[in-house]
Amino acid sequence: MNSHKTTLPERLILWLCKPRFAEEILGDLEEYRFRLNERNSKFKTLKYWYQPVLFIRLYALKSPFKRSNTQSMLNMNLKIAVRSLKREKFYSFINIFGLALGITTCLFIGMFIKDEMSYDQHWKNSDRIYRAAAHLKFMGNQFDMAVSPAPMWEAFEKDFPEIEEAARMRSLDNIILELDNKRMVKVASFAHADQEAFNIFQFTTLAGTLDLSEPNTVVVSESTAKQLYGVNESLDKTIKFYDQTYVIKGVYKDIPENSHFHYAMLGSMANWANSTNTEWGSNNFRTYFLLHEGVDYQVLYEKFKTVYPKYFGPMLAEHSDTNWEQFLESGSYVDYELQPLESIHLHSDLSYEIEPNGSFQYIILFGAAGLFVLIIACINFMNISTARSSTRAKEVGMRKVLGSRKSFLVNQFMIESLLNAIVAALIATIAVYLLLPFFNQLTGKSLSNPYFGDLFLFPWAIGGTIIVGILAGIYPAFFLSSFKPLKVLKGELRLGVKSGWMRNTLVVVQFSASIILIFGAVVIGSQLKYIQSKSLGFSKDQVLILRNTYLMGDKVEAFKKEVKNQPSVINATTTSFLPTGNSRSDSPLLPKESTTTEEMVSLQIWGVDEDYIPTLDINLIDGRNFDENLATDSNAVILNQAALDKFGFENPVGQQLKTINGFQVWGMKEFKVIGVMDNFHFDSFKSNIDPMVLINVNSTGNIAIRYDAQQTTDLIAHLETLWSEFNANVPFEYTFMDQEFEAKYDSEQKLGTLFTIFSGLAIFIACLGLFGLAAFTTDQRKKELGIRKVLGASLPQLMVKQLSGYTKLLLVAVTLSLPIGIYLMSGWLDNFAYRTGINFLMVVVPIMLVLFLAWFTVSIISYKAAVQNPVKNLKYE
Amino acid sequence: MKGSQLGEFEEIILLLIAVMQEDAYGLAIQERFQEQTGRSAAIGAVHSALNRLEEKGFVESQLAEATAERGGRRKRIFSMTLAGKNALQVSKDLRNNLWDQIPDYGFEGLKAVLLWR
Repeated sequence: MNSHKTTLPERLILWLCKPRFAEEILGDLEEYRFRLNERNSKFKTLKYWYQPVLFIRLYALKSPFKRSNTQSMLNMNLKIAVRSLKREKFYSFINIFGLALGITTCLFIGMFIKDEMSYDQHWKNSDRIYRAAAHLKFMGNQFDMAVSPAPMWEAFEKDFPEIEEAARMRSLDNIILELDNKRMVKVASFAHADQEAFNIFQFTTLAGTLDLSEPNTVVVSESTAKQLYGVNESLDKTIKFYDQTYVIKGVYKDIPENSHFHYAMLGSMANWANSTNTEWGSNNFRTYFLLHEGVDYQVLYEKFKTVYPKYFGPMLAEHSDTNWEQFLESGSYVDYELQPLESIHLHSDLSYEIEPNGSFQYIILFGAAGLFVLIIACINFMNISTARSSTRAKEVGMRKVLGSRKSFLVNQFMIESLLNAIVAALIATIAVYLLLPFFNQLTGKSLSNPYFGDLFLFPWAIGGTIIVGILAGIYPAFFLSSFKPLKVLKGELRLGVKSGWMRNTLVVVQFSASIILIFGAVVIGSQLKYIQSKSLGFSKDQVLILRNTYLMGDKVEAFKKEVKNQPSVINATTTSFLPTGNSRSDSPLLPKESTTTEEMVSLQIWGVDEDYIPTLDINLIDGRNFDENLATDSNAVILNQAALDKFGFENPVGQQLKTINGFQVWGMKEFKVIGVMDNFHFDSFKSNIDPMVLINVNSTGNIAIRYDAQQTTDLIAHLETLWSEFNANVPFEYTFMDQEFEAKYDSEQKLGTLFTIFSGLAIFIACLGLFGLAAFTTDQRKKELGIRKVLGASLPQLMVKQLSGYTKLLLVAVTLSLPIGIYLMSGWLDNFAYRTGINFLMVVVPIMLVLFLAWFTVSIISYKAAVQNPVKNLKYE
Repeated sequence: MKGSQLGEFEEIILLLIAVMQEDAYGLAIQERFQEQTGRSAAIGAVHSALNRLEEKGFVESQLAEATAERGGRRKRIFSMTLAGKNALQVSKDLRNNLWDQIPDYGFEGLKAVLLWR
């Protein structure tokens, strides 16, 4: 034999072809190569490689169904698994159905988590993009905001070579555009942006160029363009808003759902008046930085600290009597953090976020809940398999006697478990695709094709199924295969008893998990109820809101008068500031006679009219409401209780307030307190009510209307007619204040719904398992029951005997799970500044529910056994 | 046994085996095929045909001596069986028979059609 290295084509042939052809074929191949070399043929390597490929023909290939030992063993194992599945239809059903439910839940949760985690990763260079977020402490007031000062982007880009590109965005949501043909179109979210933003965020251009370097230019998203003039037709057309005309320069592809902003239109920053100001004290812009490759953002963030005195020192000197050192000494600070773009959606929860973000805490909660449900389902399989060991024990004993090794038996039982898991996963897959629309509705997402689409869950599903199969099967497999054949065949082993403690433990785990989930659902539900029923300090019911009334200009007052003349209208107020809206305006004020900035209070200052307080049913505790007939009321303010507490006035009415260093707020520098009102909730329940003053200044963003509930439809029709008289081109839109309020707690609502579903599933699967287990153990004790009955035990006595065993387990589960549940849920409740406490009822309800369901489940089985004629159970003895 | 029909490619291979006698092994047959017909055939194709012929019982094979250029591997030399010879004969007779049945004007007619087109 020539000793030469086997080439890859040769190996291919050895691997694929029947051995009986190999020698001949390899010989021919070698000779062919020899001749190719001799002839010095062109492309000889290619030709040499080409030949073996042509050998891949049916006649020469090895049969894939080759009979090897391992293979026939596998075939047999599969066959046994299928047979035992079929033989025990009832238990198989419980196993597979429970597992399928568990896997379905996990798949949905997996989809949810994967989608949440994918936010903003679609941007090119997303790992190098950061947003500046402000953490400021100023005279005892803490601000954590997703915004930063106007000059920061350019200044920092100059100061730090690590920054490759910087840009700002200034959001103005909800604007109304006027088209060439006078048609009005509403754009849900709009921002002024620096041209550099397109170097940071790589938008996909569909038409024109994304160029905002000139003033009065905009670029629009594809779907907005369709609403305007059409994707290609929109180019170079003009639109009008806020009395300015803009040219559409480009169209970009809609920003994907999983982004932290979805601007439908971007306009030139040059048109935003404050874009060029050099004021470091006001934070109004979202600043994004693209860092150079390899830059550690934490290090850069540390470096930021070195330039703060340079920028904030002069600002302090200008507006107050302190310098930078004194500022720091007083406990105040300035701190701008860099938030990695990809973490914004899940980890950023600041004031002035562009859109409500997700929550990492919820991801963990969902993940844990899903895992619980899956574990409960896996335990069903473990319990039922080990409990039924007596029926399999003889099989195991016989196999061992006939020479089967333990590993073979382990394999056999593992394959059974895997088969269960695979069937369950198939059912779960179908369920996931069928239930997807409901899931989307529930979570407010629009996911599709979870297996092979963007989410690509397919490998996860396969891997998960195998893990579930192994997890559920490993204990039963080793338990069942460890029987001593002699003992089993002699009948010495009291079967199904030996593994009792393990089964009991697992049942306890199942019910503990169920109780925790149910308890969680109850607590979330109560907190939601608390939010809905707590007195808000204003009345949100029967208030209708018309948006965009500012477009009427001077006619708003006349419109409001007309509205108030409607018979079903009780009162109406024009204002830009509503407790359920997003408009906010805060500025610091201090008592007039005060000489230091230490007495300064940061306040929400809301411009409202004299109808605001009566329309929203806000309670005045001191002084009076604004009076339109009093000219002196032009600088009058009404404090809320929180503001009063901060100022600490003894006799608030008549007190004077002033701005800092002659700053103008709403065009005024001094204010007179004429009244005090109760606190009302204008922010989330998660934070305390901030100090606020109402000021008698026209702001015309909305009209809020308190109406008589009897005539809603009439009212809306009348308002619409009225609207078109005043404001023909603007679409008529209305909302109800109570609905807006509910929408604010949307994510809590979703959490509540999901937890209710999870806890329902968990207890259902757990009871399913208990049902199977009880059915089996009762079956085992048929004779015992029969004898007891013959000896005179009554039906209740028998039932109690049966139930008491399970009740003990349940009580253990209760004592274990309650502390955990209370700990977890009070942690969640701590998110809320205003929250319900955990009371006795909230603890008792889940326990009673679980006890009752478990008793009910076991009773079905034991009642059937207990009423049976004992003769039937005993006659074979 | 599969159908004992001879395909065109198989027929030529079988004829080549008859012609080449002691020299008839895979690669040699393939080269000879290329020489005679001017068509190229992959070794795989030739092997596949030889394998079919053997299954049909038209050829038999035995392993011959190894050579250096084959990397020390032996050749499989094919030789025609009686059944193979019969099959060739049947095939040839069939053709001859059909040739004989072509009327005289058959080819003329064909020429006319070709011209007309």
